[in-house]
Amino acid sequence: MTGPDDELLPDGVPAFGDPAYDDLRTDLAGLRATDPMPADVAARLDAVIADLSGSAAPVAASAAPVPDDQPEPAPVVPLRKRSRVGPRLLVAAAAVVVVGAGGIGLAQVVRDGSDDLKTSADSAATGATAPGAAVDSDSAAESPELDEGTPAAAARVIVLTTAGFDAEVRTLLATAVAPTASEQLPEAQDGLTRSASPLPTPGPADLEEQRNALKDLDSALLSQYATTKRADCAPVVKGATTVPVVLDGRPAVLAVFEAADGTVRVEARDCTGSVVLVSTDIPD
Amino acid sequence: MTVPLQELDDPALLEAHRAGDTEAFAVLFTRHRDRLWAVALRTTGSPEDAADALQEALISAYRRADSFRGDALVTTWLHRIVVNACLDRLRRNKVRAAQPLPDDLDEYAARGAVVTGPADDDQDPEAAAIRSDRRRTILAALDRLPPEQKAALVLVDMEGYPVDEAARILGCPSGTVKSRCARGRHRLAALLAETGITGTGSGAAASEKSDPLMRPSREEKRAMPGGGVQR
Repeated sequence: MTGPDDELLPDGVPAFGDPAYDDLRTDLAGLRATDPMPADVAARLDAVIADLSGSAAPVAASAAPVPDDQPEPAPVVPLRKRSRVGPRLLVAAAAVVVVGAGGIGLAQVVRDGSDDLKTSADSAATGATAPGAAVDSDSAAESPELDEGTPAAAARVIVLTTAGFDAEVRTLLATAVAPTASEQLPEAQDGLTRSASPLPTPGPADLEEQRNALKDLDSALLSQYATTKRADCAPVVKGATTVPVVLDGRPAVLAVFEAADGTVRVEARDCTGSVVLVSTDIPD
Repeated sequence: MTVPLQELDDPALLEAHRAGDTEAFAVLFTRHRDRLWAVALRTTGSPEDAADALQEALISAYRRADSFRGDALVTTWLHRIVVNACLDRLRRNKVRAAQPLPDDLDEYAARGAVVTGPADDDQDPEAAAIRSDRRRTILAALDRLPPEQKAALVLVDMEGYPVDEAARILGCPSGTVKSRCARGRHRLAALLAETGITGTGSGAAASEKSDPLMRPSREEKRAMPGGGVQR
């Protein structure tokens, strides 16, 4: 029953279409993996894409086409040695955290659109980003102090408060991990695109409220951050992954320490890196 | 008026990525990541290896977008890069004397009956335990196959890809895919027979010592360092 295009099989080996192994094929079909990609893996890969997008190696200017079946040289990004929490924070750095009287609202600025918001967010890191540039790769290259060189993070501002630090950090991390693919896709609304955080599970009305909150975000606070050169608040914290933030209206840095037992300590430090302003411990 | 990225089809997303859109590739990858994950998970046999292989593939695809010639579906191209990354990883990890069981066995066990028995067996702890054990055994046996045979079985028998599509993903002729599947099934059945699992086909009685399929095929020898010896 060997088909004409079957390669020669040893004697006794049923051909591809032979029903002898139908039961086995049924068994194998039943083992198909049906669960979606785990959230931690998705977040990790999202962070990798953010890295790649930020580095903006001009793909169009890459070398001559490589045949599809040629293995690519070893990638430059470390694999399992890579921090599992650091990328989450860096992904979370793409989120703008709005702390208001009504609690914490989260919105992720995905693409350019609303000039006021985009300008405030982007200029926070780039100084003067031309409208339309969601993530400026050149400015990214000017931000080497970011621990993992994630320019996507450089283009956003994380706003935290001392009073709500613990909850805000947890929400930030959850936001970085939990959204599904579809939730992360941008939705155009008056030029402003965003996806809602799964925490605290806002409905349509909440989304609108968040949107308004974003528009009303204290521009002075962001301007303050924007006028502070990143290099002025990029301390090296030994053993930690660091992310620039605004804490209580002042530039600060978030330092993430991962212990061997999986516990993660997150500290907000001042721009010298020596003064811990507020901290919290969270499970990995 | 700009069309939202998520409304673009795969080729358009890839083209946008080539043109410098920093988010197009993320949308493209997100669109297909669950299926890519499934293939990577079953091909590597462990979530950690699958994640690492996917990361390698992701970087490779991102940087090699210009190498896509448009003579296949974008998804085929993505799968091909992922499977190649998985096979590379398997080859690097090979020569594992004692093959560990896949890490996501508990996940399989919790997923309910697929392999054997009627659905109402879910209520029977003993039946559930048997099913779980059977899944565990099959996956462990699958991990003992040569990577190329394993990849062919994952694509064709597990994930249900047509042979021609699997051939494009694996970068080989359809006949080779069929051959790999046939050899893989036969070898798998022999391994399962050793563990006492029966009912998997006529080749289940084949033993590893006597079965020529337990030796590398010509193509597998060619893939080995040094090229092996042609039979």
